[in-house]
Amino acid sequence: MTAPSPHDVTRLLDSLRGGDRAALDALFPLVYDELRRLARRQLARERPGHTFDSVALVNEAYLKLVDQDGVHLQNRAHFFGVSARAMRAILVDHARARNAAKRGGGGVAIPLDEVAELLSDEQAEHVERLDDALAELAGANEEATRVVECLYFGGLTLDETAEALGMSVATVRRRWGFAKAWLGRTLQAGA
Amino acid sequence: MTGADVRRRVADLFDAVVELDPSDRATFLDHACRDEPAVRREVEALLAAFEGTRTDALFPTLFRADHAAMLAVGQRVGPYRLVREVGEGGMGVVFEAVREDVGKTVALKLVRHGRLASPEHLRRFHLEQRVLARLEHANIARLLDAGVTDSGLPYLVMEYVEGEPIDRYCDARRLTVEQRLGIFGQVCDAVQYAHRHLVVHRDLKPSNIAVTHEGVVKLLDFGIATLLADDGGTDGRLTRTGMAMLTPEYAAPEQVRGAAVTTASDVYALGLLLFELLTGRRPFRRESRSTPELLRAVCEEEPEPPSRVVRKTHTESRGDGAREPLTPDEIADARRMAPPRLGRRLAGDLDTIVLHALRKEPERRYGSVQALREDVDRHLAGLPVRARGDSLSYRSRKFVRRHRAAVAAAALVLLTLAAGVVATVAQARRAEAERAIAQQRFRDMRSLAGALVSDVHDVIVDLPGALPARATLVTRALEHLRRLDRQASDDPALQREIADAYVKLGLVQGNPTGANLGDLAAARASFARALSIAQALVATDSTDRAARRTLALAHEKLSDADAWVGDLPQAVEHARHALEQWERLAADGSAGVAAQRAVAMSHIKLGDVLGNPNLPSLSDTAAATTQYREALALMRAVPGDSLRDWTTRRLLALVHERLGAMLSLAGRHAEAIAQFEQATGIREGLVRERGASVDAVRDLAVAHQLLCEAQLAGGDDTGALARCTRSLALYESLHAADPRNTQSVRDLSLGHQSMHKVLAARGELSASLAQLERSAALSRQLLAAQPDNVPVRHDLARGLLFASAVHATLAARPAATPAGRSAQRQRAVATYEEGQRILAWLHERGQRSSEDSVLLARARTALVGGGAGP
Repeated sequence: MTAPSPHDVTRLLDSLRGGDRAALDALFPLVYDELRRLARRQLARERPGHTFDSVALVNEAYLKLVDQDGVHLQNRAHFFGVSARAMRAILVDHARARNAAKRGGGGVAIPLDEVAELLSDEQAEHVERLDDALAELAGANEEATRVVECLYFGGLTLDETAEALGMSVATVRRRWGFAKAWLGRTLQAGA
Repeated sequence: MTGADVRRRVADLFDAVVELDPSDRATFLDHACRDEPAVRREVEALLAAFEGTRTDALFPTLFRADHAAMLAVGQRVGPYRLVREVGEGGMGVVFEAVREDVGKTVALKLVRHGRLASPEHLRRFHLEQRVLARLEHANIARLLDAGVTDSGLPYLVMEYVEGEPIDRYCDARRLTVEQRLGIFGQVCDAVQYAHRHLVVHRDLKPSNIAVTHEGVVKLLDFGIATLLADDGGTDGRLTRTGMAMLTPEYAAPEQVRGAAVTTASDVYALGLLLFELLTGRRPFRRESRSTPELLRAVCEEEPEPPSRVVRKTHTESRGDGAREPLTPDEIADARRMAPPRLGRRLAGDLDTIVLHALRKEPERRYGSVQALREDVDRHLAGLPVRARGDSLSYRSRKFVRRHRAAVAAAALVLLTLAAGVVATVAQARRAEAERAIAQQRFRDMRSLAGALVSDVHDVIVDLPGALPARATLVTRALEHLRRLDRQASDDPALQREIADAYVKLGLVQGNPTGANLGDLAAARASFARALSIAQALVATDSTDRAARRTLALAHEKLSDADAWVGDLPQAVEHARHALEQWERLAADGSAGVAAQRAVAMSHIKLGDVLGNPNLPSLSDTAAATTQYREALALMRAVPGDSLRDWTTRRLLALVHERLGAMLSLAGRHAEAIAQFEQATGIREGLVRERGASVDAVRDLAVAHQLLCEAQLAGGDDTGALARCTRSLALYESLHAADPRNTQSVRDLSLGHQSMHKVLAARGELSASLAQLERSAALSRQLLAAQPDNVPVRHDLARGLLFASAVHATLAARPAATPAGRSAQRQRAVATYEEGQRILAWLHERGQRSSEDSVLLARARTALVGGGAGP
């Protein structure tokens, strides 16, 4: 596919800020692809065994995808929010592919050699379980799921998360606490 | 309850209970869930899970970024050994560390967000760091070293400062308002020093300002925001850095909007700091606001005056999330005062100073940190402060002038610096090793140059009383531009900026139609330089719209300048070229109303040089009328809603005025009056909406004057008197507000000539003469400064010939005494001869209109009719 122009992404972010949900659908794959590409590149440069730097990735994707001149500050926040979701999806897709391959199952969506270094076996197992639990949490408290995406998968700070989700920092803290309790209970029960 | 309700209830209860002391939780739940055992069980299960789950087990490290915080104490980073963790901020973790080879204690900061993305970035990181390392000031913690860890995280090594954040330092010692101002002064000194070295802090906030136990202020992280910005090798570093490192509560409005971050942003940050030191609070607090709400407040809400803030109780949430109610008593006590006294202490000067620094528009704040600091000092010394409150002064022209002068002074300082830095850059460029930073600095300086020249231009328009400063500014700007010009022959974007800058500079030097320094020759040279650059750019790339616009503008300005020095064929030539370029720009499908307006304006300008009787022209009235009609047709074709637009209405008024003038000339007075009345109506509306705008007021005065002349020509001297009185009053007020402005002097001079005509028509000859004397005095005053100013010379000649005719009429009055008649005749002859001499001088330079000949003949007839020979 051809690379999206910074202008397009900025326009989509504007629409998103204006409450257009379809913009998210259009934006998500762009961000997903770019982040995955960058992750691959980052890992290719690194010595084996290194974890990768999600914050750097998101920043890099941001500089790459978003037109820096016309950018509205809140667009940056929304971009980070979308990136965090994309980051979760990337990691989870990878984890599932890896786990499936290990268990000998079929249906591997992503060629393993592309992102082989993304997660360790242990991390992959955990990420898959966490993702299932998060899907359940979304049914109980959607906001809490978003907060986990931003803080954990996106590597955003409290302030950035508050910005991205349009919440106060205090609310972010509360949702995080709830998520921690909820996920802790679910994962321990399932373990 | 539905399932969703239960989930909501559980979540709400959990939020509430988790914030309670564990010992209070059971009691709370007893009350809250009396009839809901299932809900209670759920909440308790969640609480147990919350307490029993280790965060790191639930969310194991996936990313390297988190490793910054996990660097164990005792570990080595480069030549440094980490001793203990001393703090954690948004940017990273700070350690006390020792450089082992020299045994020196330093502060080492590992940067969380700053992963260096590319080798070029790394290179620039080191080069920028060298610039920052040159900042040596007692109140700035020195940057000693910077590097990258084995895992690729950048780290910074700074002077180790043992101290407290400035706000806590002041509160812990219960410093008085005066003592706080003293400490604040030290902060200003440090920031001012850095600005002089072209380093903007961008992230000033209490946690970045430490005070040692000896009471010495130390600014931390100076320029670090710049250092860590990765601009990906593109332009606009200033902007992006401001965003990447933003702390919403300490952001300036321009940072929020993503506009350029400049020294004015630091002035704003200092305003926030002073606000906080004085009141114990921030003007825009997070409290329960989400970030978008907070940012909107930063951009839109006016901060409350400090004196009012200290009279209220607020709940302040501190950085650690705890909430502290602050009462007026507590705040006042921390400043060793009773609450009412503290309020009175802050009211007045200190309110004014703080709010002046906190203005939303960067250009309306203090022009420099120096200016802010001086006002604080003036206040401490009991002198009146220079800043003025907002509501009154905003509307007052007096203020605007003072303010502009401050901005001009600041711009002057910066330009001086810019010139110096460019010189440094030129040297640096020779050394291959510093090439990267040279280019970066060069880019910065170039945008600074562009901004400055335009600021200078905007500031100098209408700016009275600062002539030497203005002249220096222009000289500096010119030197600076030439230097840029020489260095950047191969970069089209820079070439265009330089061309634009030349146009602006030319306008400052000698804009014939606006306030200026009166150096038309220099202005012409600047416009010509802009023209040749723009021509080359358009020749290389005919799709470069920006370059084409510059080209059109340069032609237009050259046309103005040529007309004003009397080269009319050349002026027409340039005006035609300008029109052609504007038309090509407007022909583009994407061009909007503005492009249409530009074409209309260009028709007007071409018409003016072809045959506007009130301006230097070829006197081809038919050709001029055609151009004006074209313009009117274009204006009528613009979409209806754009007619509400200010610029469009202004232009429409202008077209009506031009057509009115042509109709007057043709003797079609009723039609002319109709055109002028249309124009006056539009202008009145514009002044009502934009009362403070000098231009709008002047335009209205002109409109009244034109209508007056048309009424006079149509025989309505009473209507004309009313119009003329209004017009003259407006000119007087503009002149009084800005006595050195060339334009305001000439306007007033011509206003008096109009009044003379009205009075003469009404038979009030002596009063009419007084008007002409005043007019001549003003023209002479202008010519003393600008001997080449053709239009003003014209004004004077006409005024003299008018006066001659009035003297001759007075001399012919039978009622006069013989002595009086003789005196009048002598003066009639003298004024006639002087007027004739000036017209002859103008004639030699090709400047003579048919109107002049008529005037001359009329004056001679009056003389002869009065019995005196020339």
